[in-house]
Amino acid sequence: MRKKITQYLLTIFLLFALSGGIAITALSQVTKDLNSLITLHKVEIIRQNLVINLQTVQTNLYTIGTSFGPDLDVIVDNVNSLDKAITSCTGCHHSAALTKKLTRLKKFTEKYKEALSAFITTTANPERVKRLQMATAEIGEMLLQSTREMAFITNQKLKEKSATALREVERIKWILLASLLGIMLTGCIIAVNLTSEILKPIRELSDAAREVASGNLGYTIDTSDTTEFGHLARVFNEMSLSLKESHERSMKYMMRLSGLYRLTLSFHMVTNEQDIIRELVFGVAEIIKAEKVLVFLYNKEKDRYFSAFPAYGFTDGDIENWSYEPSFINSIYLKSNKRSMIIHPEDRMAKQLLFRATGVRNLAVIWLKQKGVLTGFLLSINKEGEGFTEEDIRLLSIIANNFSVAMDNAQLYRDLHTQMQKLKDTQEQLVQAAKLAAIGELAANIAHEINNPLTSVLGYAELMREEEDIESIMRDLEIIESESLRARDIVQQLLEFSRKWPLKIGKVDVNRLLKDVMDLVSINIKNSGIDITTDFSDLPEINADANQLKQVFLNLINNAIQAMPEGGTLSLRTAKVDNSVIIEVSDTGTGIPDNVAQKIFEPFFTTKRDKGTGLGLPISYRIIKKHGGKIEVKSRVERGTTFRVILPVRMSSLQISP
Amino acid sequence: MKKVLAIAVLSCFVLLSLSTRTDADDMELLIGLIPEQNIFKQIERYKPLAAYLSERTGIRVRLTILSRYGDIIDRFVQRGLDGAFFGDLTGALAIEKLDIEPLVRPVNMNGSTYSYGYIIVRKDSGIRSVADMKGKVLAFVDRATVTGYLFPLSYFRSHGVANLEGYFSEYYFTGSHDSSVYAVLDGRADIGCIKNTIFNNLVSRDPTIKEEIRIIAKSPLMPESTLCLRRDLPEGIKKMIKEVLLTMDRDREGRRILAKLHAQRFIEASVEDFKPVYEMLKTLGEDIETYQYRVR
Repeated sequence: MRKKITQYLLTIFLLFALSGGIAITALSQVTKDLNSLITLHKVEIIRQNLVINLQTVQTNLYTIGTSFGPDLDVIVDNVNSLDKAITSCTGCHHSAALTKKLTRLKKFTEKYKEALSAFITTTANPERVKRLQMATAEIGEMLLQSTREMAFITNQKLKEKSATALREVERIKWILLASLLGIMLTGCIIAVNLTSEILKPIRELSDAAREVASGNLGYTIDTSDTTEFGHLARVFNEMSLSLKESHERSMKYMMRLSGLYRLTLSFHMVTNEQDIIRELVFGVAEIIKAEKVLVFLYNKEKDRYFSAFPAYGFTDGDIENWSYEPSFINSIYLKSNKRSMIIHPEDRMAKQLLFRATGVRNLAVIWLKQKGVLTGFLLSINKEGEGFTEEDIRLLSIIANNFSVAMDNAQLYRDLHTQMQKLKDTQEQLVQAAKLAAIGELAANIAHEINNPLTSVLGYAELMREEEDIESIMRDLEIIESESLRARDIVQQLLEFSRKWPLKIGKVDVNRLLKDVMDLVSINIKNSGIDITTDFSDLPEINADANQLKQVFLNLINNAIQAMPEGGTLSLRTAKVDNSVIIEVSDTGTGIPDNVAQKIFEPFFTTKRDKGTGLGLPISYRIIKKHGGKIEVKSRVERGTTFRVILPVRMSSLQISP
Repeated sequence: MKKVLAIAVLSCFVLLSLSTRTDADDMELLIGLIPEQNIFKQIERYKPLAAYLSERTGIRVRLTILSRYGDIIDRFVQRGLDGAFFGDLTGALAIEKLDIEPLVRPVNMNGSTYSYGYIIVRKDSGIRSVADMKGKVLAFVDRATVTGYLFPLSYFRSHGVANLEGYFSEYYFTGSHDSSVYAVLDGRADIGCIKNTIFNNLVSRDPTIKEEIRIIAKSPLMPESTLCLRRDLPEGIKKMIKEVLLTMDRDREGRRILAKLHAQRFIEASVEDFKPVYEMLKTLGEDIETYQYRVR
């Protein structure tokens, strides 16, 4: 191709050189013609000057010596110019005829000069002077005539020469145009040819490249071309084939990797050891394309390697009771340098290993280890095609590692599960015990509370027996009645907690409710040194159980009062945020330590051993939860505590239904 | 005060430099020529010399030609001439009437520093003596030339011709020496007068002339064309021009130009050179002061 391009370029260059030559020749011809024309015109100008000079001198002739005649120096100058004009004419190359004429002209001029000088300098009688003047004028006229004749002749010649030169110029113009057009046409043809010759293989190549790009790897093109493009085509084919090969290799590798990934994932999806073994043998069979895959695991109790279920390519019967002595396996393990390996089926070791398998074409042994200790091995038998490769061994070793980790994990998981179960059982027992203790405490409290009125009742009943007047008896009876009612109230309260509280939903004005509660407790805090501040915002009525909410607030306020035995400030604040109503109850009391704060909503947890039941806050918590709300606590020791109740303005239907 | 002084000094310098410029660079000398021969030839003959002088001295030398010998005396001042190449009689007249001084004169090709006049006739005219000239047409050159007028006049007188009008049928002045020869050759006159140097030039160009002409008489030696300059020209300039002319035969270009003038070199000229002219005038009983040199 290079040769071809060079040839084409050389041709174009030669064409240009040719055209340049033609152009130069033509131009030089034209220049010559034009030069000769210019020279002719110059000559014509000289001739015209000659005539003008002659005429001037002739005029001078008649004015010399008169007042309007020119100065003699001027006449001398004029005549000398005339002489110069003629001399310049004779200096050129002319035809013999013309030269002769010019020589004659020169002679005439000399004569004219003589006559003129004589006329100018002579002093004689007027007649003689007149004669001299006439003679001079005559010569001048002849000179003029002769010059005119010559001018006419040369003018004719000039015309002819001009016409010839112009014709030549015209002819050269056409030659130039024709040669230019011819060269342009040839150049175009060459360019088109060259372009198509270059473009054809390029197009083929680009088409082939597009084929390859679209996935048709290994696509090849015709390489019969002997030019550089043939070489390029061969290189392209090599590239295409090598791309195909490398693509296939990567695809195979990808398949294996994805198989490995899938297998590893499955290992960790299952926790059952048998499932893991199943994933292993089936996975290996699929990835390696082996006919049979079998796993042996070491059994500590029996100190022997047993075949593991299931196996790929074997029936359960085939592998049942297939086992090896650890000494035998260890000897192979050591012989292999503890590395997985490919064993020839005719090898003695192979025959010993596969005494129960027939038709073995190829075999790979993969060691299974946990923390560096041999725990079993995998036999992969009869790989499709040309047998196992080192790459297969590497892949299988990775799978074996993953398998071991999965088995380890399964073991750990099983252990963890057992531990968790145990922990749960213990926890349940603990809760049960705690509950029993709480109930016991509660029972003791109840017994104590009920015992007081009962003691009063028994005392007054005893006293009544000794009373004689009816009035005293009636008074005692009244006391007995009131004490009995007190006992009944205590029992009622207990019942209240143990009972399930269905909500009685109605429209509740939270601010109003809080005021009611404050009325109830205000008597208790008289003279206790506690100030009350309230900050109530305008709130919408909410859907809630008024009595149960009252119980919650009462509980929270009582807790706050009890937290300030030395007095302080009790603050109540309400606000509406979005679709919720917020109620805060703050005290400036002792505060709750962090470890205690975590437990305050647990049942039976109380810090007031003698006063509390450990049920107040759990009940409050349950009530608020039922309303679809939240109860939060923020506290700092010796600074005070804030309980914040958040209630939705409208409860969802789910919460409304019991 | 200092400032004024500085300006004054500066002005002096400027003026000085300007004056020196006018002295040398911008100076022009106008040299007059008499129509010794064909005026065109005459001016062409002297042009190279003028160019040479201009180049060597830096002074522009311009030539002007006059149509009559006498005009060189009459119009010297009027035309603003600085000098001229004078003939024998015009030189003597100029010395008398103009404030000029002779500078140089040429040495002819034959080594002589003088020229002389001829009285000529055509050989075929049959004229051999003054006696044969009776009733013929006579062509003088000009009244203001010894060789072209005073000598023939004295010659004719010494041969008994007291009155020209009575003796010759016609006499006139051709104004130039060669014109007088051509007048004889062409038959416009029977007797002509010419200076030997001009005659020799014509013969050297056209030897047939010598065949056709008979020389009847020859004059005493007269001074050749002498370059005289205005006496009031700066001495430096006069000296410089004189120096250039006297030494021009030492360089090639100078020799080439001298050849065109038909001269070997220039030599110093003096008033003494014109003594023969005065003698000729004396012979004729003429006084240079009153001599009527103008032709009418």
